[in-house]
Amino acid sequence: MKDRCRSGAHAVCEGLRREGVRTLFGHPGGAILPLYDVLHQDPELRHVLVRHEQAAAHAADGYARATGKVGVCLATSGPGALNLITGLATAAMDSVPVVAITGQVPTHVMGTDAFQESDILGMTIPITKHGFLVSSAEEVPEVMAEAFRVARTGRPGPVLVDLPKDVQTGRSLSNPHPVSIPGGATPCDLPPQVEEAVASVARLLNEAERPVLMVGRGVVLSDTAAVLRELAERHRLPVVTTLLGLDAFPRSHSLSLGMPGMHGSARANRAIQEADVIVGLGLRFDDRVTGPVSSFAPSARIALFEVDPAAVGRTIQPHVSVLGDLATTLPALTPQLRARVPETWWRRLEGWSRDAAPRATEGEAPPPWSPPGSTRLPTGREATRALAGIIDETGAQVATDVGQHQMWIAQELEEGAPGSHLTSGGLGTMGFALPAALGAALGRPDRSTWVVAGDGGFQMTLQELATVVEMEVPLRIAVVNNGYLGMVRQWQELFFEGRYSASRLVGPDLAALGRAYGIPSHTVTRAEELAGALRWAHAAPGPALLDIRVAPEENVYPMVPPGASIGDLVESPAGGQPVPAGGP
Amino acid sequence: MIRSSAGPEERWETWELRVRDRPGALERVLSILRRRLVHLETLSMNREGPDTLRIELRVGGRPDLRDRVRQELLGLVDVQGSTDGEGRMTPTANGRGTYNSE
Repeated sequence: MKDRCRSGAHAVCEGLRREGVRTLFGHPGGAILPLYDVLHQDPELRHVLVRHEQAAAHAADGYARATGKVGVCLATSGPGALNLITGLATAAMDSVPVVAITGQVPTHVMGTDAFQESDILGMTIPITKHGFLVSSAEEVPEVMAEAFRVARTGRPGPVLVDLPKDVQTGRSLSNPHPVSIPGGATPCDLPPQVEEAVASVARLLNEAERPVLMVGRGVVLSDTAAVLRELAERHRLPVVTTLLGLDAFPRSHSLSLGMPGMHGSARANRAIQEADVIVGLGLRFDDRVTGPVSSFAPSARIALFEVDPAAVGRTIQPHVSVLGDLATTLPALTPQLRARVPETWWRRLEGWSRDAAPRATEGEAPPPWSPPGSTRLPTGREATRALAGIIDETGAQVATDVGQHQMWIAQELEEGAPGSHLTSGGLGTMGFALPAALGAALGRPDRSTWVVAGDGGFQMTLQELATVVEMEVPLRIAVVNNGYLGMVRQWQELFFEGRYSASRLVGPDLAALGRAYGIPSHTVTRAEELAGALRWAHAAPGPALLDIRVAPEENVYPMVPPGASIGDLVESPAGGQPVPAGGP
Repeated sequence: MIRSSAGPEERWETWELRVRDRPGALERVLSILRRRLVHLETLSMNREGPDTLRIELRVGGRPDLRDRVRQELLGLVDVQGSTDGEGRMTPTANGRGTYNSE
């Protein structure tokens, strides 16, 4: 009989457990106290107290990206819920399954501008896949089940569950049986129109002379990286990977052309521009990838595998679209392919640079910006190349923030299992890296986890260092510190005649700040210190922070100027010039 | 902004949606029209059942844009059906649309 007297808050926790949730990220407040009271007594649910609700959303996002499960965040009503918004929009843009549970003022005062009341359901409509305002405790079990199902199916995304305080305290009948939400069965066979579309793609590829596969995050989401690899290897198909698809196909693979788009490689961008067939797998042809649509891949017939029909043709209109989950549609393509890619196409591809910046090979002198024994600051390129090196070498996962370091890391990473490269690709949210890494590390404790952030983004959410310490999360935190909002400065240098308006940053001594939080921290000011410092951070038993001072004015290349075709990229022989030591 | 006029190259079309009556359902439909810059000429809503609304929209915009937006509307969780080309109401996949199909 006890079960029959359960509250709505109990039903929320029961729903979370039923969905397999074990870790959730949140911050309490008045309107969600009944749920926190029940949570406190639930030994199966681990609550991580963040210091700001935005971090709760990013941590849930990071947890979801790293594990493939639904991430969960909690906040109270009003300001607490509103602080989630940036995180929810980040998750929506990158198709990350997150369930956000918010407290709401009691139903009898809703609409009266009560203390800490906000219309969070209304305000999150454009940035969530769906939202529920739960009007009675009895609805809770079904809403929880539906929220998780909506979040993780089709194109995944964030779902809001808004819980008035009296719903949390109200009586909810126990649901001993799993709640059945109708629909959503996985079809065993492809619908005929999808079969036909797959056959059309196969014909395109079999007749192609200059084919390219473009791979996005959909491959990671659908767990089809192995299928893709087999397909590419069997037919020697060249593969480009978008920023969010970097961990779907390793750049170290001989078939990889690297990343396309604004800061993509010459090989990837020029291959797209000369291709006669492009097959997109789980990507949305973002404007940072395509440049002006009118000049994108002018010779190519384009096919797209996509789960969301509404996303087809939003920028690039494909000649063929295959609608459905890649887990079903991609395996159907494999047996229909016969042709291998002509060697002439590969010889042409290999004539273009795969690397963003030259690498020293054995027997060669090091690059000119890296003289041995110097006492100068490392460049951002050197710092991120060294970081990518240790991340690759140790099989770590990495969360990057937004800006120059994000592009350098994307250009330099060679390896990476699916779900190991976390970055805010669509929304470009500064402040993402630290809390996302926190979530990723708690979700995947078997992996070493790095945070790579710039000094600008790091200062947006650095309060979460306290959470890292409290939860004893062994994050390796590297701040690539150039004393600027680096990408803003780069654009001001290149496109605003060098007028650095509000892009110079004065920051604290980050190593001292790290130590104030109880995190062993060091400042790196010389290029030759890099390798040792990274080894030290990697070997640290708990969290460790490196404030890596880098050359202040350095640009990310290659770069496609805004408005230009991606074939018109500007390559640079080097990432920056040596700068005397002394700090940015 | 929901604009009330379509350009000379645009054509108007009427859509009818059967929508589950839950908080935010109508706003979610309108939000998509606003975000995707589809022009809305008229909007009417009638109750079809205790939990169901019928929303009629007269929309303008480029045909390709309208088609994508229509797909997006049909993918909404609370959109349960829409009129086909001959005015017959047909259910969306699983009552939840392809956006959420597994």
